[in-house]
Amino acid sequence: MPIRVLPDDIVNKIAAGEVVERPASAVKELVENALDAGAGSVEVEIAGGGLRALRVADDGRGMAPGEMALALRRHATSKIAAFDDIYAIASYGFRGEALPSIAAVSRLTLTSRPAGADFAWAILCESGRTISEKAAAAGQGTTVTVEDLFASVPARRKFLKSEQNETRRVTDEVTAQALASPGVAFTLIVDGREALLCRPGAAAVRAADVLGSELFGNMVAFDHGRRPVRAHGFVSRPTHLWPRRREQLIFVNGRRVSDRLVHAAVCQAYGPALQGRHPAYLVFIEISPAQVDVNVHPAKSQVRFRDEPLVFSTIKAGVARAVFSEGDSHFPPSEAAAAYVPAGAAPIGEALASVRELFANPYRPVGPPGPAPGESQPVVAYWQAHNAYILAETKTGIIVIDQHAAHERILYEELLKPGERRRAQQLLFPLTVELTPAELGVFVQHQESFQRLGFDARQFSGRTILVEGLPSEAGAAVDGAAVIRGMLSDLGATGTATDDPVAAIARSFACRAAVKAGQPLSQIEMGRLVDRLFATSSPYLDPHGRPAVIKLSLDDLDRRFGRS
Amino acid sequence: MKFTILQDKLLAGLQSLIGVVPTKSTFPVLANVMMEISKEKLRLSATDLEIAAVTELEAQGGKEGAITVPAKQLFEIVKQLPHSPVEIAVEENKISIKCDKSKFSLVGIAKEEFPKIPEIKKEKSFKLAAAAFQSAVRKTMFAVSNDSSRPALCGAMFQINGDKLKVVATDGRRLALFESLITPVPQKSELLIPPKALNLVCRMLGTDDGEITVRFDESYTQYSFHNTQVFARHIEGSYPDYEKVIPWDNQKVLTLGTEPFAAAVRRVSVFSDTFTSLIRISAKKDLVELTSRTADIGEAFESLHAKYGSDALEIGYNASYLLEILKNIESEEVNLYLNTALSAGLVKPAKQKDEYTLVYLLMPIRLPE
Repeated sequence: MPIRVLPDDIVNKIAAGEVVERPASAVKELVENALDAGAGSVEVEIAGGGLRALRVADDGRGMAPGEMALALRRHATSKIAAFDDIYAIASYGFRGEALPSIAAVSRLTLTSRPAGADFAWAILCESGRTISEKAAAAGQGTTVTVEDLFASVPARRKFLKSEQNETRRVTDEVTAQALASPGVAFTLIVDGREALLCRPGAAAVRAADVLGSELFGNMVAFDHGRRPVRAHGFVSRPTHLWPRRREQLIFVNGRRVSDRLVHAAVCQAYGPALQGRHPAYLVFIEISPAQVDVNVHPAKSQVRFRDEPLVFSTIKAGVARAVFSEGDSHFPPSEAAAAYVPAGAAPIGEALASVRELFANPYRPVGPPGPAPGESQPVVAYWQAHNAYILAETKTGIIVIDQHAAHERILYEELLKPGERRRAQQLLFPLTVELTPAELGVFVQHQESFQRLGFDARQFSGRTILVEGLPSEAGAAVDGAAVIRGMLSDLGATGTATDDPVAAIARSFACRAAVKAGQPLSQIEMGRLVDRLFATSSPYLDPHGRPAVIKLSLDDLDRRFGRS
Repeated sequence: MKFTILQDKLLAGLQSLIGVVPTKSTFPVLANVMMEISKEKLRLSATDLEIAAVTELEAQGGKEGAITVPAKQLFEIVKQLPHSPVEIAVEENKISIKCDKSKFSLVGIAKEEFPKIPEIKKEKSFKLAAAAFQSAVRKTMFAVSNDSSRPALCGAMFQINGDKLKVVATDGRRLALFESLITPVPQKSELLIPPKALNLVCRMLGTDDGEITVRFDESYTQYSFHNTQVFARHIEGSYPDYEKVIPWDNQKVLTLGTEPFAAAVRRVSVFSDTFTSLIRISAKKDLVELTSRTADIGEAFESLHAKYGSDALEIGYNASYLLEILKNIESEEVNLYLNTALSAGLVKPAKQKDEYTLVYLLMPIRLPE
């Protein structure tokens, strides 16, 4: 076959495959165009997975008839003028490929009315060729209707999935766009039914709208870094990680991308708390355009950061800080946890040693020396599982103790003992905590109780309090300001309840100062914790009324193993 | 690309880098080590994006080239090889390793995926003895905070002023200050370094008796020794004005034998509360009494001979904080400079070393009234 130059319509069909591989990518391109046109509201409607018909309508600037014809030509764009401009891209699209690519493989109607025009203009294209042009009735903005996508490219159509699958992909795409542009109203209509409706609002409102309360309710906001890289968004609390992957969305300058570096940074921020589970996250990265190459792939779904360590450390630090400085976090900061030796090793070694001893002296009795008066008296060896639970043998079976709940119970009862003002670790750099008027009111009301608990805190000036000492139970990794704020908000919340405020303070503090799940404990520490737990008035419950100890009797075990 | 290198050289190179390679990462290329070969040099690099290390080894190479391969597997293989020349050849995305009669092949990842190793721009630099650097790190790092809500305290502060280097670490409850002389640097500088990088450099230095060169710019510090460089990104944030809080004029001086004091603290701390480690130190004329008590468990009492001439003072400390300080004091006697039961105390070796000076600060625990 002789070499020849391909006609335009074939070139367009080939190029279309790179930019538009399925209805969702057409929707993506068209929505990005709408946003670049300054839309305040974007409506997407699809039928038959978007293959039968899809429509994207905006109320943006609109185009004059002359511009419309040009927009349907390849590499016609209003977004860049010179090559160097692509390194400083502030708009979504820039290649001028999307519209002609879609037009090349469908029947496309482009309707647009710029501000000030008396009527709209509509152009109908089939497989890239203009069939008709005429005046039409429409509001300001642009509407693109695409019918029979890929009808002329059966090969492409073959690679598409089921209608439901394509619908799901379009929904994902619109969801992502809605998250990236909270100031723009979004509507998605699937086969005549409204699937998504987002009113313009703040980022948190939009995230809550889109993700739903189950997911969003257990996420915390973070915001870290400044020029050239700022990362912000929402991530799962370490107490609410998921066994399967959930929503994990990354936006770089408002553009949805997939990026392993960002994913790794978020995951590593949780440290050992992750334990094989997955956080849900929305990460928005604002980065100066010169610091990022978006021209890696035509669909712009990948980026390459110039200073990878900077992006990595900004995200990791921001997420770690948000996740672990929350007062109710049940995990220590990852660095702290990583510095410890993995739990389990020593106790297993000791257990083996005792087995050897056992065989060396066949007459040695099994079990603890001396009488064990009650089942609440555990024996010497403890085993810490997952740095969260302490397992111990008792006379009639085994017990599992939640280390956090146990320590909470101990601290709680100690704090409620009448009498002395408690000891306070003095701080080298006193903390200043600025309170809201409501928090300050609560603080002033309960100042004495705070003092008694070991918070050397006093009103400093205006709404600022100065903290010169913290209860010595609060370890060095505890964020004192967050603990105080958390307690004040707990107290504020119980203001209307009948609960005793001192008990509320004690409970709130116990929860925040107690050892967290994820913290390795030594044999001695576990021994003392257990001894002190069983010296409290109700060792089986934490101050919130949740169980602190679970018992498994020998009878239970025997039955489960089919021994009885 | 193809090259030959002695097994022990390659092993030593990998051994020094392996500490940087993250054990678990969702960013797969970080588990790899980058191998770049030029005529007579093999350059190995590893990074976890917070720290990067590069080492150069002598090798007989042919054409230039580069690839990244899984660090752990490469290390395990090289460790087991006999002390013979190792021949490594790159074929597309794989390397083959030949040594005597053993042959392995290892799948790699293209070099483009590997993060760029930072460059130090507009550098400033100083030198100090490797041993002094190790002391600076080992004697201060325990005081670094791990409260990630105050990121600045999670780093060690290197303050460089003329020919003086100060290394400071604090978590707001205790503070460690190390001072030493260095080759002069024209401008004052302050660098906040993550402890992980410093510990790594210390480990890599081993028992080296040479010098270490520290180069730095706005965002990175580079530590160079032998043929190895370690890069650490500075922690951002403002470090508290620690100079202001050091009570240099504390008048009450208490002198104790370091070892007997530490041993007594260790014994008494057995009956201190598990999570606060509170012990009471009561200084009287030429005598110190240490006590601790936990309700329902027991109490401890020790008395020690000491040099003390001021008014009696009772002060509470966290025993584990105190022990960590005493562990780092090598002189036979230790001086405590105290003021009141609620103010900071200073702990210093009675006799400072020639190479550096050490000062520790410890905040007391307010005792129950």
